[in-house]
Amino acid sequence: MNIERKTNFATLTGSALLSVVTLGLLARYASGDPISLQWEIFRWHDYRFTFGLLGDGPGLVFLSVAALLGGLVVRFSHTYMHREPGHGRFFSTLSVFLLGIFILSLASNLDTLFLGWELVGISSFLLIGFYRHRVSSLRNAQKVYAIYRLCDVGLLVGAYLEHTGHGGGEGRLLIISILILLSAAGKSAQFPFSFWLPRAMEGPTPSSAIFYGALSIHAGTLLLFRTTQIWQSSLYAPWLVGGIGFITALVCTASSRAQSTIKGQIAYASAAQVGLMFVEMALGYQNLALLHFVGNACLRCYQLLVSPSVVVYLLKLQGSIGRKIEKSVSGRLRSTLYAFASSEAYLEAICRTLFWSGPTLTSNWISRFPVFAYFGIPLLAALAGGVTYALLASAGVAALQALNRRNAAHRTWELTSLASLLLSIGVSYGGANGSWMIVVPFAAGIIACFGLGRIGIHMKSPGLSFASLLGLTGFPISPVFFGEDLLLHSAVQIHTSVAILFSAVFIINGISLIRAFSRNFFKGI
Amino acid sequence: MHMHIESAFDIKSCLDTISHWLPTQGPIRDFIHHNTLHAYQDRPFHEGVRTASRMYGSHSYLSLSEFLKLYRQGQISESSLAAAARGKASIDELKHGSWIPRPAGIFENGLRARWTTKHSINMDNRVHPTLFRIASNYLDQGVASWRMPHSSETLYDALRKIVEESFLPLPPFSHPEARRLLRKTPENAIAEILKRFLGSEKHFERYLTETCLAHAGWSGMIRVIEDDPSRLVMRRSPNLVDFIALELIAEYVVAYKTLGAGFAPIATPDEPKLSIPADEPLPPQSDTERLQEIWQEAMERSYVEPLLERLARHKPLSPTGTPFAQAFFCIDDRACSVRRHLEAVLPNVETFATAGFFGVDCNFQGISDSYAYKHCPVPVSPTRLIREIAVRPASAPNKTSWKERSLHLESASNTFLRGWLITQTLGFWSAVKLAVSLFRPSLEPATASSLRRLDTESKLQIDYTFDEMADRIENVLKSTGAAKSGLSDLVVLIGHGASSVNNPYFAAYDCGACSGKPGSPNARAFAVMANNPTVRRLLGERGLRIRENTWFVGGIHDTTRDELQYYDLDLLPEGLRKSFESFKAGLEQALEKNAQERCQMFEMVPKDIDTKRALAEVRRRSVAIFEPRPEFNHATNACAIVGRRALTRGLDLKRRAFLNSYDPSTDPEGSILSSILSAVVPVCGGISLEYYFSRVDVDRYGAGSKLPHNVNGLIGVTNGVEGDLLTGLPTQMIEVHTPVRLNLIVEHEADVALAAAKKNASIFEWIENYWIRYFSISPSTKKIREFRDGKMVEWQ
Repeated sequence: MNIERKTNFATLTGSALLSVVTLGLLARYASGDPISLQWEIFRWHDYRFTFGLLGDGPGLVFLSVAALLGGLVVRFSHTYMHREPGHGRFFSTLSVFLLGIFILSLASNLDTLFLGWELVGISSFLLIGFYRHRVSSLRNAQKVYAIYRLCDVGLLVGAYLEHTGHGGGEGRLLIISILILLSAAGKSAQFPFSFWLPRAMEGPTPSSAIFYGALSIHAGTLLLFRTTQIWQSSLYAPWLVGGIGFITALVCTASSRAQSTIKGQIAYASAAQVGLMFVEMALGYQNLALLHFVGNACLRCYQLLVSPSVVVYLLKLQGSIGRKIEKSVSGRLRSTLYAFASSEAYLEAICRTLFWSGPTLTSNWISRFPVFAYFGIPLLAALAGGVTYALLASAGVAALQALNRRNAAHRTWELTSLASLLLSIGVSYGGANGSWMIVVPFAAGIIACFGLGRIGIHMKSPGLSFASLLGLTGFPISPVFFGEDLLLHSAVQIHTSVAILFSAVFIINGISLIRAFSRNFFKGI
Repeated sequence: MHMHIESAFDIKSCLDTISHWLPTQGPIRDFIHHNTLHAYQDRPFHEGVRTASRMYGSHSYLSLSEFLKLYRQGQISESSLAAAARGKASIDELKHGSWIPRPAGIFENGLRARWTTKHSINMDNRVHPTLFRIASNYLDQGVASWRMPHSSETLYDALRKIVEESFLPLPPFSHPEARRLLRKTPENAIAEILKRFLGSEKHFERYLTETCLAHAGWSGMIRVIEDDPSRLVMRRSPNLVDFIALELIAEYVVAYKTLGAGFAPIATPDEPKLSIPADEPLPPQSDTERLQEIWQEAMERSYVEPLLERLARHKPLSPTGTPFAQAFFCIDDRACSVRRHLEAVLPNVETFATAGFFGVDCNFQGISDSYAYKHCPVPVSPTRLIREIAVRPASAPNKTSWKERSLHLESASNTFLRGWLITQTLGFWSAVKLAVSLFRPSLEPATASSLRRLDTESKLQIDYTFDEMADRIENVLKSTGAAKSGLSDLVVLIGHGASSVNNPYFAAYDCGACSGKPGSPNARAFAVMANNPTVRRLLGERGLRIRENTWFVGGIHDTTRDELQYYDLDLLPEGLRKSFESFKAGLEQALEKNAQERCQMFEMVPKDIDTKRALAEVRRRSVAIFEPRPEFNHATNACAIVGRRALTRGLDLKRRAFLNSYDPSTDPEGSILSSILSAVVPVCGGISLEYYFSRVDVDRYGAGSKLPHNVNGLIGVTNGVEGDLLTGLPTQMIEVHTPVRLNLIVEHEADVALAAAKKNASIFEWIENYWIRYFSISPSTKKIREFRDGKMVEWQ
């Protein structure tokens, strides 16, 4: 039995197991006694990290679709991926993805949900960049990762604000809802992030089908299902959710119509339907949205899998069915609509300006005036808010500088680790008594990961470096993650702005590291 | 428009020259094999590929480690290696040669690269996605549901008008600088921008060449359609000048916005001109290339040496007894094994092979086709139309029935409200459909099936005069030697086509002699014409008598499914029914064995598979949406033999040979041979070299792995939504191929063979420059000669 057959056997067993577990969960749910699992992994003072699963509601529907389509796609890929270099890599990434979806669907608390998010994010990055020798696939993998990262940390902050919420009324509720919505919109390719979805179609067709056709794209919907009570109790949030959904549906339908590539067209069409699901949820039709999700997931998954057929099919029909050319609009309006749709509603440029130009400009500026950046900014911060802010500002400067150092991997590793350490010291300085205790596991984790990374870079080993990257970016269940989690816990207690600074540094660190990694270990850009 | 000439440099003719180096692959619906490096064919093979490798940054041969692997497996023999290396290198050197990476393409280390080194701008990343999207939207044949406004005009005009009319921007073309440039002619815009970028005209050609080759797929496609707009059904008028002008405008806007109006040029008038490798005298050979060349020669020799020995030793075999039937196949290498199996099952059947359009050059329009497709070799321009006519008028033409529709593949599900309805309803059904097509694959609306090309219930309307019909029949019967050996009562013509699903390359699987279409209309038309009494009378007047009780039947062999279909059987004379039934049964049995032989090449199929299971396996493959290798087409092709079947009957050529029937005794002057060569050389040579180049560099000459491909405007495939159009063959089609040049073996005396080849200069170029190897085998003495240095010399 060669390695390919072994992989096939293992994944087939895995997907069968997933189906059996899902059926079991469904049976228990039907009998009115859903399975619930709580496992406390880590505890420190009033902080608890609990791994919790609960088999009921929308999550279970999500899981059922995942088990069904996941199984079919695994079976599909056994033949499809035959002899493809990276066969094993493909299936292991797919397995990690399905595990992530499993955890995401059943998570009964936000820590667990976050673990699922991260697994899905990392496996997405790896599968979009599956063809490591191609520049465009790596570039797009990085784009998607950056957006995912923004969403992940947004969610983390939102979650803490929610947990530590002591009243605060509508304003606080709205901020939490916005953070949740930001996170859901990014993951589900909603306005203004929609542009990443077609660009993610770089991996083998079955991976595009299961990730971006069926499951990943609906992760945001699931998040909104899970947090319905939170955002529905805000007065304005449902309007925001519905509004974003509605704008997405319009913008993506237009973009889809001007797409002359088949996968791009399906991608935008799918995002438009998810937009409608947001609208349905905002209006309170949760069950309709759930039904809509199942239909859309199955349809898009199938459409993407058979997308190469479109040549034969449409050529046969060519001329025999009328093409839907918009006759209703003409003249200048038509050109306007076309310019808008074929430029994909300018979303990429908008996001670049909103989220990207700030950090890169600052980063360039820091490289030009390093002395002022390293001493002046922290000094100003110290004057404004004390030592904590000074340390956080230095961390920010280091993180931003790392963004500009993607050619030299070792520099990126140094600067991001430095930023993380400064961050931890800053937060524990300002935090409650005993916060110093958190720094120890966190710093130990950072230093260990940094060491691992340096060895990996020195030995030119992608495996070691990637492990180190996961650690430094605070991947769940790594020592850094617990530290990060704990630090965020205290950061929120100090002040909301500290928590936001803290997460900004983490987002930027993640992006710098993944860019440096692609550049140095794949044929990156 | 203002037509003031701003520059003496002729942009148009410069781009004409450059387009010589671009791929010439057309829209994917008629994928036609051709020599990937056709433009270099005026140079000797090894020099041509070496020059090309410096243009495109590509590999020209297998790597040394791949050669070594073949050597260890015994596929390159010790003796061939020694013979190829004699006087050139030591065996030790060959085994331990150093490995160098592929040479850089001109767009990787020339002027364009300076945008990165000098200005830190990755121009390709900034400009290509927008540019490709515009080209794809403009050429789109039916994917997008909104057509680009003004697409009936030229690309440049269409874009300018959209920019002028639109109230919203169309970046980067709505930038004031771009608007200003768009008001000029494309030539003037190019000249102005190049002047600004490069300072001097002497760098123009190099920069333009780099620009075109950095996205050879799109530039090539634009050029192909510019040269022949009929390649698209929905006509567009793209041209390379427009396309490059738009690219340069976009580049200019990027430079202007990033670096400011006063950005420094990337070249100076004082620096020496960078040359273009293809214009240079021969580039020096690297050490690795020298060794690769020897290995290549050794690998080819290892194949051809035993083959020639077997041919020379083989005792001529004829059918046992008088043949009760004769069957005509295509020269295709896939027919090679079918004929062998048929002759083994029915020893009293005689087989012939000729180019699979059977001399019937036509445009063909089937019942449900909305326009006619060309069904003959690429260089031929057919003037006649053959139409398929429904017998029962009830089946209305030009209307695809709902049974043949699939909403999953139509853009309705991608719109707003209908999309909402469809996802809520049909959506769930998709999961069922997917499960069914995974576990019980069957024919679907999107399957490309050669058997569905022609309806058995229909009739053909043939637009030839009787004289033209007689010409075509006479030509085929004489050139194959069938006229001389006499026709049996039953003559069957078997065209071929393929079936596949989820496969944009479907056309590459069909008959190459029918421009990538199934050969059934041609085979059927041939039979109809040959059965016509008037045609037979005309033929009789020309001295080609066809007996009254001879009957022709047309049919098709689906090479993927190993399945057959015959046409007009209702007209078959009663007296021939029995012999037809036994022929049919014999051929079906042969196809089972053929399926079994083919299954040996599929890695996931057990080697000891029996014939019934093998047939089921190949049929499953043809309809499975998850099977990227429905069949291996021409992979492993290695030789073409033009001669009598007696030369090869009974020899197992392992599906590696193109066979063309030809009787040298009917053609002492070689004039028939010369016309056969003018079809065989470009068709088989084109197939051979397309496989060769896609195999030695699947990323540059080929299309890379098929698995991530995305269909673009129904004209080609790309990786992702913003990649260059991919040309050549994907990995899944070429991975089992051994890249040897075609060995063309002609059964005739050497001097006649050479004269016949020389008659047509464009054919002789292939031979003279060694893009194929040319051999002659004497019909009398069986002596073999090889073409070398302008002469036919004794093979050794």
